[in-house]
Amino acid sequence: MLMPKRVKFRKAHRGRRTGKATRGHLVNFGDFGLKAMEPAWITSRQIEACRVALSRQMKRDGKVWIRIFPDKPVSKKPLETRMGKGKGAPEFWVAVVLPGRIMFEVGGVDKKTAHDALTLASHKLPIKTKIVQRPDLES
Amino acid sequence: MSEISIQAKRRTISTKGHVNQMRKAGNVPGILYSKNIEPTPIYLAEKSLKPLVYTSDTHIVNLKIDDEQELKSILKKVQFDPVSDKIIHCDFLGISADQEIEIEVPIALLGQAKGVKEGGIIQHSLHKLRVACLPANIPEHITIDLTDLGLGNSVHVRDLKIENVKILQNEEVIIVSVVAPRAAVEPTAAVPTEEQIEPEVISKGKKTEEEE
Repeated sequence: MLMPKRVKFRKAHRGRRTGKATRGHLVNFGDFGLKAMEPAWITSRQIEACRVALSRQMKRDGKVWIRIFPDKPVSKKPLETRMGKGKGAPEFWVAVVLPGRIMFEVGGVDKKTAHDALTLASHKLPIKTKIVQRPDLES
Repeated sequence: MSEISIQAKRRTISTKGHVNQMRKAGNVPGILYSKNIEPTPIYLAEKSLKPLVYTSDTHIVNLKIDDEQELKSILKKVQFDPVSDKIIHCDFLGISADQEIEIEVPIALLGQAKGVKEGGIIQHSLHKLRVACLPANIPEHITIDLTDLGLGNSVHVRDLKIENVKILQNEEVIIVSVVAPRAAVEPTAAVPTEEQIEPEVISKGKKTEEEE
């Protein structure tokens, strides 16, 4: 599963998820992409589930690009613990996704296969998504 | 190279509210700039812009602002809304016949590669090529013939020979290649091992305290 190899700090603040994606909102590598329509924290498990779904549907054809990386640690307190005594231990890793962000791209396959694969991948995610294509790609 | 005529209007008020109202009415704000003229804010119908944007060809635009004379230009840049993907702004670059311009030309693939018949997969890496040329020499698109491309072979930028056009892209960049398919292994989800759960912390000479 995806996670950083080295980090400067073990724990991070939650931060705010306001606004739209200002970078990574265009299909740059492949022909079709999966765009987030809502803000969310996408966990490394969800990214991995999408990758497996895409690879399975596309079989041996085409190529998949993952355009997000889970670089934010999320900590959790153990069950039945009283409040206080400091922040919990890091539990999992997430990618902060803002509306408009292209999360996955596929290329080298026909439109139907790409749509089927990206639809399956979208079912693994906790947000509304839409399938987009490169503007200069003639349908 | 095909030409498209577009009717535009001069934009006098450029406040955010006014520009947003313009977008709601089905227009797109833009700007026309050129070497010897002052930049002119304009707006044009979104419908008229679509054949220029959603295409794999480059066009010369005959831009007519209000009742002035037609100006030859190219569509230099388009901005899209991140969520709705609507066109929110466009840049036109005025051109003159004797002045060289930089432009991105789409790359089109032609034919079926020899390597594909052998079981390979086409990997198209570069979709647009940055070139410099006189407006009269702008290619509509760059066609690459794939018929002789075998398994494991690639077409690089250095392999392209286009007359009267200077290629600005790095010569070593691969445009298209035929690669062997991945092994037929059922993709399985990676399970994190004990070591993978916590990454290495870049310490500043001070040890991090263990959590209780």
